[in-house]
Amino acid sequence: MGTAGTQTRHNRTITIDFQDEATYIRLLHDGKAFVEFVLAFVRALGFQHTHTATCRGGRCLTRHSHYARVRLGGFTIWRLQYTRCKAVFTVLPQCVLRYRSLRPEVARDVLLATHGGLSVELCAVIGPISPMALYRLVCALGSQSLGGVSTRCGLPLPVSFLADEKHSRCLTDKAYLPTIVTGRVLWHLG
Amino acid sequence: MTESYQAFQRAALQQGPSYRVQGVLIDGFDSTTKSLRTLLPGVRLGTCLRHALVKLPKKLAAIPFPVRNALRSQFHTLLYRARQRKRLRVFALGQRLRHFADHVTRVAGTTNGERGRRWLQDKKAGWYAVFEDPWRPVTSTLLDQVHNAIEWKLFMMKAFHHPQGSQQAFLTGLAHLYNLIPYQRRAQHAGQCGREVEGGKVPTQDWFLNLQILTSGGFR
Repeated sequence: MGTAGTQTRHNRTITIDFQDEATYIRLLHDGKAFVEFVLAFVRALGFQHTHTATCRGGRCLTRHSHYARVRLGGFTIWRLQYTRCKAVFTVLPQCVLRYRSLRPEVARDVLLATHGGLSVELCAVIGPISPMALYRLVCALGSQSLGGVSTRCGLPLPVSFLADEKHSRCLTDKAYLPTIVTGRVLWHLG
Repeated sequence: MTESYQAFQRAALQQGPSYRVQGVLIDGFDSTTKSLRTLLPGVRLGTCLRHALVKLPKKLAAIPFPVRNALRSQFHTLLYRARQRKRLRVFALGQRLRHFADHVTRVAGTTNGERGRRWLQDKKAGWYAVFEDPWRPVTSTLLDQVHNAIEWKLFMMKAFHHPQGSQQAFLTGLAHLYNLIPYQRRAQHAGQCGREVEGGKVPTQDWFLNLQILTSGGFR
Protein backbone atom coordinates (compact mmCIF):
# COMPACT_ATOMS: atom_id res chain seq x y z
CA MET A 1 0.00 0.00 0.00
CA GLY A 2 1.02 3.62 -0.01
CA THR A 3 0.91 4.08 -3.76
CA ALA A 4 -1.10 6.90 -5.23
CA GLY A 5 -3.97 5.95 -7.51
CA THR A 6 -3.13 6.44 -11.18
CA GLN A 7 -5.43 8.71 -13.12
CA THR A 8 -5.78 7.51 -16.68
CA ARG A 9 -7.50 10.58 -18.13
CA HIS A 10 -8.70 13.97 -17.04
CA ASN A 11 -11.92 13.82 -15.09
CA ARG A 12 -14.38 16.28 -16.65
CA THR A 13 -17.41 15.37 -14.59
CA ILE A 14 -19.45 18.31 -13.36
CA THR A 15 -22.06 18.14 -10.62
CA ILE A 16 -25.05 20.39 -11.23
CA ASP A 17 -27.70 21.17 -8.65
CA PHE A 18 -31.05 20.60 -10.38
CA GLN A 19 -32.86 21.15 -7.04
CA ASP A 20 -34.78 17.89 -7.33
CA GLU A 21 -34.91 14.75 -9.44
CA ALA A 22 -38.21 15.72 -11.14
CA THR A 23 -36.68 18.92 -12.55
CA TYR A 24 -33.76 16.95 -13.90
CA ILE A 25 -35.98 14.40 -15.59
CA ARG A 26 -38.14 17.16 -17.08
CA LEU A 27 -35.10 18.97 -18.45
CA LEU A 28 -33.77 15.76 -20.02
CA HIS A 29 -36.56 16.01 -22.59
CA ASP A 30 -35.66 19.55 -23.60
CA GLY A 31 -32.09 19.75 -24.87
CA LYS A 32 -31.90 23.53 -25.18
CA ALA A 33 -33.29 24.14 -21.71
CA PHE A 34 -30.92 21.51 -20.29
CA VAL A 35 -27.84 23.18 -21.74
CA GLU A 36 -29.04 26.62 -20.67
CA PHE A 37 -29.67 25.38 -17.14
CA VAL A 38 -26.17 23.92 -16.92
CA LEU A 39 -24.58 27.11 -18.26
CA ALA A 40 -26.61 29.29 -15.90
CA PHE A 41 -25.60 27.16 -12.92
CA VAL A 42 -21.92 27.24 -13.82
CA ARG A 43 -22.10 31.01 -14.38
CA ALA A 44 -23.77 31.44 -10.97
CA LEU A 45 -20.95 29.49 -9.32
CA GLY A 46 -18.36 31.67 -11.00
CA PHE A 47 -16.37 28.63 -12.09
CA GLN A 48 -14.95 27.76 -15.49
CA HIS A 49 -15.04 24.40 -17.17
CA THR A 50 -11.81 22.52 -17.72
CA HIS A 51 -11.24 22.92 -21.44
CA THR A 52 -8.52 21.24 -23.43
CA ALA A 53 -5.04 22.64 -22.90
CA THR A 54 -4.93 24.67 -26.08
CA CYS A 55 -8.46 26.07 -25.85
CA ARG A 56 -8.97 29.67 -24.73
CA GLY A 57 -12.44 28.94 -23.43
CA GLY A 58 -15.88 29.90 -24.62
CA ARG A 59 -19.40 28.91 -23.83
CA CYS A 60 -20.67 27.14 -26.96
CA LEU A 61 -21.99 23.91 -25.47
CA THR A 62 -23.98 21.24 -27.19
CA ARG A 63 -25.42 17.91 -26.11
CA HIS A 64 -22.97 15.17 -27.00
CA SER A 65 -24.37 11.80 -25.99
CA HIS A 66 -26.25 10.11 -23.23
CA TYR A 67 -26.25 6.78 -21.50
CA ALA A 68 -28.38 4.94 -18.99
CA ARG A 69 -26.76 4.16 -15.63
CA VAL A 70 -27.73 0.52 -15.03
CA ARG A 71 -26.75 0.62 -11.34
CA LEU A 72 -29.21 3.44 -10.78
CA GLY A 73 -32.11 1.65 -12.44
CA GLY A 74 -31.57 3.09 -15.90
CA PHE A 75 -31.05 6.69 -14.80
CA THR A 76 -30.10 8.83 -17.82
CA ILE A 77 -26.83 10.75 -17.73
CA TRP A 78 -26.03 13.35 -20.38
CA ARG A 79 -22.71 14.48 -21.72
CA LEU A 80 -22.11 17.96 -23.08
CA GLN A 81 -19.43 19.02 -25.51
CA TYR A 82 -17.75 22.31 -26.31
CA THR A 83 -18.08 22.97 -30.01
CA ARG A 84 -14.70 24.69 -30.20
CA CYS A 85 -12.28 22.45 -28.27
CA LYS A 86 -14.40 19.27 -28.33
CA ALA A 87 -13.95 18.75 -24.57
CA VAL A 88 -16.73 16.51 -23.31
CA PHE A 89 -18.28 16.85 -19.84
CA THR A 90 -20.41 14.37 -17.99
CA VAL A 91 -23.22 16.19 -16.23
CA LEU A 92 -24.16 14.56 -12.95
CA PRO A 93 -27.24 15.78 -11.10
CA GLN A 94 -26.81 16.32 -7.36
CA CYS A 95 -28.73 13.10 -6.66
CA VAL A 96 -26.07 10.91 -8.30
CA LEU A 97 -22.58 10.09 -7.06
CA ARG A 98 -19.92 9.40 -9.66
CA TYR A 99 -19.59 5.65 -10.38
CA ARG A 100 -21.72 4.82 -7.33
CA SER A 101 -25.21 3.56 -6.79
CA LEU A 102 -25.09 4.95 -3.26
CA ARG A 103 -27.75 7.52 -2.47
CA PRO A 104 -26.33 10.98 -1.63
CA GLU A 105 -28.34 11.13 1.61
CA VAL A 106 -26.67 7.93 2.82
CA ALA A 107 -23.25 9.19 1.75
CA ARG A 108 -23.85 12.49 3.56
CA ASP A 109 -24.78 10.75 6.80
CA VAL A 110 -21.89 8.32 6.85
CA LEU A 111 -19.31 10.94 5.84
CA LEU A 112 -20.54 13.23 8.58
CA ALA A 113 -20.43 10.36 11.06
CA THR A 114 -16.89 9.46 9.96
CA HIS A 115 -15.81 13.06 10.27
CA GLY A 116 -17.46 13.29 13.66
CA GLY A 117 -15.47 10.39 15.01
CA LEU A 118 -17.57 7.27 14.44
CA SER A 119 -15.62 4.26 13.25
CA VAL A 120 -16.03 2.96 9.72
CA GLU A 121 -17.61 -0.24 10.98
CA LEU A 122 -20.19 1.68 13.01
CA CYS A 123 -20.90 3.97 10.07
CA ALA A 124 -21.75 0.84 8.14
CA VAL A 125 -24.24 -0.01 10.86
CA ILE A 126 -26.05 3.35 10.86
CA GLY A 127 -26.30 3.45 7.06
CA PRO A 128 -26.80 0.74 4.42
CA ILE A 129 -23.18 0.90 3.30
CA SER A 130 -20.23 -1.43 3.66
CA PRO A 131 -16.97 -0.22 5.24
CA MET A 132 -15.21 -0.81 1.93
CA ALA A 133 -17.73 1.36 0.07
CA LEU A 134 -17.19 4.15 2.56
CA TYR A 135 -13.44 3.79 2.23
CA ARG A 136 -13.71 4.00 -1.57
CA LEU A 137 -15.96 7.02 -1.31
CA VAL A 138 -13.37 8.88 0.79
CA CYS A 139 -10.64 7.82 -1.67
CA ALA A 140 -12.72 9.10 -4.59
CA LEU A 141 -12.97 12.50 -2.92
CA GLY A 142 -9.20 12.43 -2.50
CA SER A 143 -8.55 12.31 -6.24
CA GLN A 144 -8.82 16.12 -6.37
CA SER A 145 -5.93 18.12 -4.96
CA LEU A 146 -6.47 20.18 -1.81
CA GLY A 147 -4.85 23.26 -3.31
CA GLY A 148 -7.00 23.09 -6.45
CA VAL A 149 -10.22 22.90 -4.48
CA SER A 150 -9.16 25.73 -2.15
CA THR A 151 -8.29 28.09 -5.00
CA ARG A 152 -11.63 27.22 -6.63
CA CYS A 153 -13.20 28.60 -3.43
CA GLY A 154 -11.41 31.88 -4.03
CA LEU A 155 -8.68 31.42 -1.44
CA PRO A 156 -5.27 32.78 -2.44
CA LEU A 157 -2.32 30.43 -2.19
CA PRO A 158 -0.83 30.74 1.31
CA VAL A 159 2.01 33.27 1.51
CA SER A 160 2.72 32.19 5.06
CA PHE A 161 1.81 28.84 6.56
CA LEU A 162 2.34 26.39 9.39
CA ALA A 163 4.26 23.25 8.54
CA ASP A 164 4.84 20.18 10.67
CA GLU A 165 4.89 16.40 10.47
CA LYS A 166 3.34 13.59 12.42
CA HIS A 167 4.01 9.88 12.62
CA SER A 168 0.79 7.91 12.54
CA ARG A 169 -0.76 4.76 11.16
CA CYS A 170 -3.05 4.68 8.14
CA LEU A 171 -4.96 1.38 7.96
CA THR A 172 -2.24 -1.19 8.70
CA ASP A 173 0.70 0.85 7.42
CA LYS A 174 2.85 3.45 9.04
CA ALA A 175 2.04 6.92 7.81
CA TYR A 176 4.19 9.98 7.89
CA LEU A 177 2.09 13.08 7.54
CA PRO A 178 3.82 16.28 6.50
CA THR A 179 1.09 18.89 6.87
CA ILE A 180 0.63 22.46 5.70
CA VAL A 181 -2.05 24.60 7.28
CA THR A 182 -3.16 28.21 7.08
CA GLY A 183 -5.67 29.11 9.73
CA ARG A 184 -8.47 26.57 9.46
CA VAL A 185 -7.60 25.39 5.97
CA LEU A 186 -5.57 22.31 5.30
CA TRP A 187 -3.43 22.81 2.17
CA HIS A 188 -1.37 19.66 2.17
CA LEU A 189 -1.48 16.35 3.98
CA GLY A 190 0.76 13.32 3.60
CA MET B 1 9.56 14.72 3.90
CA THR B 2 11.16 17.14 1.44
CA GLU B 3 9.45 15.32 -1.44
CA SER B 4 6.08 15.71 0.22
CA TYR B 5 6.52 19.46 0.72
CA GLN B 6 7.85 19.62 -2.81
CA ALA B 7 4.61 18.04 -4.04
CA PHE B 8 2.70 20.89 -2.42
CA GLN B 9 5.01 23.44 -4.01
CA ARG B 10 4.58 21.83 -7.44
CA ALA B 11 0.79 21.83 -7.11
CA ALA B 12 0.84 25.46 -5.95
CA LEU B 13 3.02 26.51 -8.88
CA GLN B 14 0.54 24.89 -11.23
CA GLN B 15 -2.19 27.06 -9.71
CA GLY B 16 -0.11 30.24 -9.74
CA PRO B 17 3.25 30.22 -11.56
CA SER B 18 4.42 33.33 -9.68
CA TYR B 19 3.67 31.82 -6.28
CA ARG B 20 6.34 32.51 -3.65
CA VAL B 21 6.26 31.57 0.03
CA GLN B 22 7.25 34.42 2.34
CA GLY B 23 7.16 32.83 5.76
CA VAL B 24 6.77 29.47 7.44
CA LEU B 25 6.11 28.69 11.09
CA ILE B 26 7.51 25.42 12.38
CA ASP B 27 7.91 23.76 15.76
CA GLY B 28 11.70 24.09 15.60
CA PHE B 29 12.38 20.38 15.06
CA ASP B 30 15.67 19.89 13.21
CA SER B 31 14.43 17.67 10.38
CA THR B 32 11.58 20.06 9.55
CA THR B 33 13.95 23.01 9.56
CA LYS B 34 16.43 21.22 7.32
CA SER B 35 13.76 20.05 4.92
CA LEU B 36 12.14 23.46 4.53
CA ARG B 37 15.50 25.24 4.25
CA THR B 38 16.36 22.93 1.35
CA LEU B 39 13.02 23.45 -0.35
CA LEU B 40 12.51 27.14 0.33
CA PRO B 41 15.92 28.79 0.43
CA GLY B 42 15.78 32.36 1.64
CA VAL B 43 12.41 32.01 3.33
CA ARG B 44 12.41 33.02 7.01
CA LEU B 45 11.42 30.16 9.26
CA GLY B 46 9.62 31.21 12.41
CA THR B 47 9.55 29.02 15.50
CA CYS B 48 6.37 28.31 17.42
CA LEU B 49 6.25 30.20 20.75
CA ARG B 50 4.07 27.62 22.46
CA HIS B 51 6.57 24.88 21.66
CA ALA B 52 9.27 27.11 23.16
CA LEU B 53 7.32 27.43 26.40
CA VAL B 54 6.81 23.67 26.54
CA LYS B 55 10.44 22.97 25.72
CA LEU B 56 12.10 25.32 28.23
CA PRO B 57 11.32 23.30 31.42
CA LYS B 58 12.87 20.23 29.76
CA LYS B 59 16.15 22.10 29.42
CA LEU B 60 16.28 22.71 33.15
CA ALA B 61 17.34 19.53 34.92
CA ALA B 62 17.63 18.68 38.61
CA ILE B 63 15.85 21.72 40.03
CA PRO B 64 12.67 21.81 42.15
CA PHE B 65 9.35 22.07 40.35
CA PRO B 66 8.41 25.53 41.73
CA VAL B 67 11.73 27.01 40.47
CA ARG B 68 11.26 25.46 37.04
CA ASN B 69 7.69 26.69 36.90
CA ALA B 70 8.69 30.20 37.93
CA LEU B 71 11.34 30.33 35.19
CA ARG B 72 8.81 29.15 32.64
CA SER B 73 6.40 31.80 33.79
CA GLN B 74 9.07 34.51 33.45
CA PHE B 75 9.92 33.30 29.97
CA HIS B 76 6.22 33.39 29.08
CA THR B 77 6.03 37.01 30.25
CA LEU B 78 9.10 37.85 28.19
CA LEU B 79 7.57 36.45 25.01
CA TYR B 80 4.21 38.03 25.77
CA ARG B 81 5.78 41.49 26.19
CA ALA B 82 7.75 41.03 23.00
CA ARG B 83 4.49 40.42 21.16
CA GLN B 84 2.97 43.61 22.54
CA ARG B 85 5.70 45.79 21.05
CA LYS B 86 5.50 47.01 17.50
CA ARG B 87 9.24 47.04 16.93
CA LEU B 88 11.79 44.65 18.30
CA ARG B 89 14.45 47.35 18.60
CA VAL B 90 12.31 49.12 21.19
CA PHE B 91 12.00 45.92 23.17
CA ALA B 92 15.60 44.69 22.74
CA LEU B 93 14.71 41.01 22.57
CA GLY B 94 18.33 39.86 22.35
CA GLN B 95 19.26 41.72 25.51
CA ARG B 96 16.22 40.38 27.37
CA LEU B 97 17.11 36.83 26.37
CA ARG B 98 20.67 37.30 27.57
CA HIS B 99 19.40 38.65 30.88
CA PHE B 100 17.02 35.71 31.15
CA ALA B 101 19.90 33.28 30.55
CA ASP B 102 21.90 35.03 33.31
CA HIS B 103 18.90 34.71 35.60
CA VAL B 104 18.65 30.98 34.85
CA THR B 105 22.35 30.60 35.73
CA ARG B 106 21.81 32.36 39.04
CA VAL B 107 18.67 30.44 39.98
CA ALA B 108 19.24 26.98 38.46
CA GLY B 109 23.02 26.65 38.37
CA THR B 110 25.76 26.95 35.78
CA THR B 111 24.99 23.73 33.88
CA ASN B 112 21.35 24.64 33.39
CA GLY B 113 22.32 28.20 32.58
CA GLU B 114 24.73 27.14 29.86
CA ARG B 115 22.27 24.67 28.39
CA GLY B 116 19.54 27.29 28.43
CA ARG B 117 21.83 29.91 26.86
CA ARG B 118 22.74 27.57 23.98
CA TRP B 119 19.09 26.72 23.43
CA LEU B 120 18.05 30.38 23.42
CA GLN B 121 20.85 31.16 21.00
CA ASP B 122 19.71 28.38 18.64
CA LYS B 123 16.06 29.38 18.67
CA LYS B 124 16.45 33.16 18.72
CA ALA B 125 16.39 33.59 14.94
CA GLY B 126 13.06 31.78 14.71
CA TRP B 127 11.49 34.02 17.34
CA TYR B 128 12.83 37.13 15.65
CA ALA B 129 11.16 35.99 12.43
CA VAL B 130 7.84 35.56 14.26
CA PHE B 131 7.95 38.96 15.98
CA GLU B 132 9.07 40.90 12.94
CA ASP B 133 6.13 39.91 10.78
CA PRO B 134 2.83 40.74 12.47
CA TRP B 135 0.83 38.78 9.89
CA ARG B 136 2.62 35.57 10.74
CA PRO B 137 0.94 33.13 13.20
CA VAL B 138 2.91 32.79 16.43
CA THR B 139 1.84 29.33 17.53
CA SER B 140 1.13 26.11 15.68
CA THR B 141 -2.04 25.37 17.66
CA LEU B 142 -4.27 25.11 14.60
CA LEU B 143 -1.92 22.65 12.99
CA ASP B 144 -1.90 20.50 16.12
CA GLN B 145 -5.69 20.49 16.02
CA VAL B 146 -5.57 19.20 12.45
CA HIS B 147 -3.13 16.47 13.47
CA ASN B 148 -5.34 15.39 16.34
CA ALA B 149 -8.42 15.26 14.10
CA ILE B 150 -6.69 13.24 11.38
CA GLU B 151 -4.97 11.00 13.94
CA TRP B 152 -8.32 10.06 15.40
CA LYS B 153 -9.76 9.21 12.00
CA LEU B 154 -6.75 7.07 11.14
CA PHE B 155 -7.00 5.35 14.51
CA MET B 156 -10.59 4.42 13.69
CA MET B 157 -9.36 2.80 10.48
CA LYS B 158 -6.82 0.59 12.24
CA ALA B 159 -8.80 -2.61 12.04
CA PHE B 160 -9.80 -2.00 8.47
CA HIS B 161 -7.35 -3.77 6.21
CA HIS B 162 -7.16 -2.91 2.53
CA PRO B 163 -3.86 -3.89 0.94
CA GLN B 164 -4.49 -2.31 -2.47
CA GLY B 165 -5.80 0.99 -1.15
CA SER B 166 -4.22 4.33 -1.84
CA GLN B 167 -3.05 5.93 1.36
CA GLN B 168 -2.57 9.34 -0.25
CA ALA B 169 -6.05 9.40 -1.79
CA PHE B 170 -7.60 8.35 1.51
CA LEU B 171 -5.76 11.05 3.46
CA THR B 172 -6.64 13.73 0.91
CA GLY B 173 -10.29 12.65 1.07
CA LEU B 174 -10.25 13.06 4.85
CA ALA B 175 -8.61 16.46 4.39
CA HIS B 176 -11.41 17.55 2.03
CA LEU B 177 -13.94 16.59 4.69
CA TYR B 178 -11.96 18.56 7.27
CA ASN B 179 -11.98 21.65 5.04
CA LEU B 180 -15.60 21.50 3.92
CA ILE B 181 -17.66 20.26 6.85
CA PRO B 182 -18.78 23.10 9.18
CA TYR B 183 -17.06 22.62 12.52
CA GLN B 184 -18.98 24.87 14.91
CA ARG B 185 -22.67 24.93 15.76
CA ARG B 186 -23.06 27.89 18.09
CA ALA B 187 -19.87 29.91 18.32
CA GLN B 188 -18.48 32.72 16.19
CA HIS B 189 -18.14 30.65 13.03
CA ALA B 190 -21.35 28.67 13.43
CA GLY B 191 -22.27 26.74 10.31
CA GLN B 192 -19.13 27.75 8.44
CA CYS B 193 -16.50 25.42 7.07
CA GLY B 194 -12.77 26.11 7.38
CA ARG B 195 -12.53 27.60 3.91
CA GLU B 196 -15.32 30.08 4.63
CA VAL B 197 -13.71 31.07 7.91
CA GLU B 198 -10.50 31.91 6.05
CA GLY B 199 -12.35 34.12 3.57
CA GLY B 200 -13.14 31.64 0.81
CA LYS B 201 -16.51 31.29 -0.88
CA VAL B 202 -18.24 27.96 -1.20
CA PRO B 203 -20.75 27.37 -4.01
CA THR B 204 -23.82 26.60 -1.88
CA GLN B 205 -25.04 26.52 1.73
CA ASP B 206 -25.04 22.71 1.74
CA TRP B 207 -21.65 21.22 2.65
CA PHE B 208 -22.31 17.92 0.88
CA LEU B 209 -23.34 19.62 -2.33
CA ASN B 210 -20.21 21.77 -2.07
CA LEU B 211 -18.18 18.61 -1.67
CA GLN B 212 -19.79 17.12 -4.76
CA ILE B 213 -19.32 20.25 -6.87
CA LEU B 214 -15.79 21.08 -5.79
CA THR B 215 -14.43 17.56 -6.12
CA SER B 216 -16.27 16.71 -9.33
CA GLY B 217 -13.20 17.45 -11.46
CA GLY B 218 -14.66 19.32 -14.43
CA PHE B 219 -14.30 22.80 -12.92
CA ARG B 220 -11.20 24.90 -12.57
